[in-house]
Amino acid sequence: MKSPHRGVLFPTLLAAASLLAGHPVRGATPVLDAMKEELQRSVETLSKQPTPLYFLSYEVTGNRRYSVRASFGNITGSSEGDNAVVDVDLRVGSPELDNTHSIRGDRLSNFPRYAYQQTPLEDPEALRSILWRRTDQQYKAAVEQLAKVKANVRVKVEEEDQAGDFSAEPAQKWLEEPLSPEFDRTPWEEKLRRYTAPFSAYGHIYSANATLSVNVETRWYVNSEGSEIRTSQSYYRLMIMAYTKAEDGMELPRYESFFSFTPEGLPDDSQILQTVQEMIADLQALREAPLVDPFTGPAILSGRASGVFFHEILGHRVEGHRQKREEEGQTFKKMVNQKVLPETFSVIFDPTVRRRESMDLVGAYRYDNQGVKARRVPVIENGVLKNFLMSRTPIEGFSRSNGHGRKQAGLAAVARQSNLFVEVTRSHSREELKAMLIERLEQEDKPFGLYFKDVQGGFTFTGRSTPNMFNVLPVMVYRIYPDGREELVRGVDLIGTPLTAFSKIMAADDQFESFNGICGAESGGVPVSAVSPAVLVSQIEVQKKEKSVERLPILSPPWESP
Amino acid sequence: MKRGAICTLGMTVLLAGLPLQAQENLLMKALRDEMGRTMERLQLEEMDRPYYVAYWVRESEGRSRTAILGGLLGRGRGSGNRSLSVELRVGDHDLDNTNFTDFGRLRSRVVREGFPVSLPLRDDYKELRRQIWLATDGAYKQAVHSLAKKRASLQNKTRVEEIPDFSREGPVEHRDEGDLAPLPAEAQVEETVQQLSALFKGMPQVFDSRVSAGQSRVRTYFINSEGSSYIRNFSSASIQALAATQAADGTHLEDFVVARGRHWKDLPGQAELAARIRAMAERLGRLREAGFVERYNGPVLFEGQAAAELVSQILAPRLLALRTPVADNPMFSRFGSSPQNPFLEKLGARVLPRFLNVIDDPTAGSHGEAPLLGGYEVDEEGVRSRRTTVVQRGILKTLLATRTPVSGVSNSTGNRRNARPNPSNLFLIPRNGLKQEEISRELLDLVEERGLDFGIVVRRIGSPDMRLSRERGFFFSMPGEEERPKLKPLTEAYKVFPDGREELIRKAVILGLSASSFREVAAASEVLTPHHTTMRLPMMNPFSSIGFMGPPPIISLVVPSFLFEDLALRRPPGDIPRPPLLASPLSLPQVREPAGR
Repeated sequence: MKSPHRGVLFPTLLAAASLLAGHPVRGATPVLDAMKEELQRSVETLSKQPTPLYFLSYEVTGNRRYSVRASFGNITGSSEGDNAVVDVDLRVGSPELDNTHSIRGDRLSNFPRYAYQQTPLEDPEALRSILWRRTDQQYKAAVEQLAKVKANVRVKVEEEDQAGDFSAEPAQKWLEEPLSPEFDRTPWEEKLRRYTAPFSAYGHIYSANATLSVNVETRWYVNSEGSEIRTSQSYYRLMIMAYTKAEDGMELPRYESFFSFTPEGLPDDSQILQTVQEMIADLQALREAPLVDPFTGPAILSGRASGVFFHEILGHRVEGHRQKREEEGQTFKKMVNQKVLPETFSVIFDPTVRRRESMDLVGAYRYDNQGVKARRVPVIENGVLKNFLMSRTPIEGFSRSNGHGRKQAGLAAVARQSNLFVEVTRSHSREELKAMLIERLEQEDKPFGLYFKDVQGGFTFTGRSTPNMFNVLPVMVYRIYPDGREELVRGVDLIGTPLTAFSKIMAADDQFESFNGICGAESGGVPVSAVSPAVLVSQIEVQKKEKSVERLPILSPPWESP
Repeated sequence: MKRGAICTLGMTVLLAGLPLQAQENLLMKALRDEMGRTMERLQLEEMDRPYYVAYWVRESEGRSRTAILGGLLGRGRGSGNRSLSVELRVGDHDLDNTNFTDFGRLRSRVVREGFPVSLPLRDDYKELRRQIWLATDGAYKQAVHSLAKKRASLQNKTRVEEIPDFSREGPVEHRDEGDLAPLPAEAQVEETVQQLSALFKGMPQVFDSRVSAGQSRVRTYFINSEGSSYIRNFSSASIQALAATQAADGTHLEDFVVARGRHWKDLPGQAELAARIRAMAERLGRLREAGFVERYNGPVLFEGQAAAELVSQILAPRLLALRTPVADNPMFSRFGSSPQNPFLEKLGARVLPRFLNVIDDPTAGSHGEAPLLGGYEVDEEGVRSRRTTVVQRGILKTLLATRTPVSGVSNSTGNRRNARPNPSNLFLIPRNGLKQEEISRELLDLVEERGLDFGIVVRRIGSPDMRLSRERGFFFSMPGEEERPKLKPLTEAYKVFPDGREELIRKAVILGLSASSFREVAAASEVLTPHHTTMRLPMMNPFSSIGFMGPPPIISLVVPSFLFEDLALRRPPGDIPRPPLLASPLSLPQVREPAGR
């Protein structure tokens, strides 16, 4: 693939660069031009209405997708396509109080609304026509919503957080060339066949799939403050999933996921085939692994596991808007400038870092979905909570966005995570960490501790109406015995509550690992990363994993008893 | 759009260039081999063995595009889709695991009975066997579980009537000759939708529009444990244009043009479609200016498309033998389950006037010059298709049935299409039908008799599948919601004055119309109009159905014009959204040239 051209074109440079290229500026950006023209026309009329509009933005997200799926050495599907989706953010009222203000006591009305409006891209008139319809519908809905907001504010008790609804941000201009990498599915069909073929020798592996998803996303953004942004990013994701079952019916999955900005960022064939062999061996071992009963005790979380652990327990709880909504748990709201982690720990969110060692970090971006420039945000510095992840929704004490307003096309942006980095000023070797764990076992007279080597993901509840817990879903867990022996076990999820879990973090090693994934929340799925060393936690809790009660297949595999 | 979505999901076949014979044999062999093993050996200790197994393998692909105002809404292409569905029954024909709502079934994460399983696109015998084996195993466990629960829940009930769960039918072997129909070239489909949708650029009176076109094709391989098997090719093509606008007061107005055929080449040419689209847009323009009818009670004449949609939306759903399943949890028994069809109680009773017969005929290929699209030779379950007289001289003789019997209909009529009974080609044939001028005269006579100023003639009715603004529903229908089929709003209706003058009505709905209203049909025309549509029935109960859930099948209706003596017409109820605050950008005097992005 050609290396993508990344143009840094500020307005003054823009004309020159475009002239050199021999194209008039206008012709080079017909999508942005159409968006701008319709935006200006809408602003002119709608800001003179009895309930005037004070902010309008349009975002068009174009996706070119390729997908190849294989199972047990055979292709089960291979396709490609493109589409584009329009998003309109329209605000009436004032930045202090507008139509997006949360209506308290009415959960249904705060439920995220999914508005998926496709648009053609080639034809400016078609795009304008769709923006016109969408704007009209949203303006009417906004006027109605603002009336409800005003009534709600009058009727309910005073809000705990008096911050306004929309922050002031400078206009941004940034034009990247849209990427259009050539991608041929055919060689990948062959690769995926090869990756999944080794599973086919095993009758006890009931599902073995590999999926390659390529997504080239180009975003066009304009707003009534004068921002004009065009960014373009490609994502390549290879997932391999296989599962078996234990005699007791428990489904035992193994997942591997590789995620990068370029196809070169994915591991080569020999590495992947090696991984497949490990998966097969792990599945075999998992079937025979003993079950773990609910347990509390010390544990080591590998870098990947602790990345997910921090993402769930900290990351989702420092998303700015959650400090404001009164149905949220607001765990950290009043803890700014307080110590929440050992002094040696810092946690930074940084969407401007695109790569760590040999791995792309897919939580990187240049502008968020509200046209705010991405920036580094130290959230915990030397153990002390300093900041939150901010979209353009202000909260008390934090009036500005720090470029974390993110969303999936079709939904409204809220504060979301980007690349999470756990940094430590004092690290130990892996052996030291293990020795520290064993020492604790002896002190507490525990028969074993746990080592969480790999996880498939996790989830957490941040609201007030549910216990504020998190759940990390491990796939490879080992018991560590006082004599240092490690034994694979199965059947547990790592659970806990945020503040307790945080208070138990003791130390970290020096082996950083990265986890790339898609994080889902009210504004949809967004790519995120977490980079962390392994950490020692003095006490964790595990609960039994949800388990299928279905028996193993009744008949043997057909090729064993035809 | 439903059809468009299907086309984008299914795609090209990788197998296209390979010798078909060798392909089928290996796939059919894998199905037969695993079926043999299943019938012989699949059994949990002390539990019932399967008494019936059926497999469907569907290879589907399609080519479709949608455009708005000349611009394509994305392009999709790729391999086809090959999927396996299993139907497995334990117990016996009288009482088995089906016709039962089992709310526990969605808990199983492994293989869900009734949910298609992806198969390898190429014929890898070993891997085909693995997938068939696991899918059958999952289906068997679910079946045994459901039957036990069903028996338990029946223990405490006295069944008023013992209706068998599955009918006995003879084995059928069938194989469609020939290859699958060719798909149109991508460029051809793209050009069609781009050119037709660009017509709307010159029509700023239309606020929303889109044009979709494409063809999908499916080859189905079926075998069951009774010795039936078939290989069926099916192809379906369509072009549809949808348009919507608002009147000055905000009234939402919507209409469509659709052309359907088995193959792309059967569809009308662009010039004809363009003319029909222009006529629709012109009609929408006139509707914006037309007046309402606030209230009207009196005679109504349905002609052409309106008569066919009336039958499809109101009468046809009642002609189907839909069984209400036993539920394991009375609290949820109504949730998602199809309500009892009132026509089950009307077998042998008069449901239409004496001069009307209703015949379902999947063997009919055309009506006069016009091809019919609802036909087939064997139905989904491998039952040979046949002509069925549903209503004779107004008396309900039978209902269109699958192998799931209902009270009074013990055998299949060969009408299973997808997962449930559906009409194929449905004919409503009047005896001594009136000529067009006679039926129009009849309408005016009734108007005079009633002392009314005018009568009503309806020429177009909205269709459930042809909607621009579709609410995205994540859930299936709530209880009671779909109990009584409702007629969509009238999109082209006129006041007819005694002097024969016609005046367009903006939009209206008909109140209180039900299948039993058809008994009151006062007259029907001699001329029958063929019309193709899809029937949107209340969604299948996801907890009780087995079998494939596909797109609603196309049915062809051949119907006369109907005159009702007494119907109530109203202006549509509800609030009217305001018209747009800004003029359409299409009405702005600007010229823009398309370029890169």
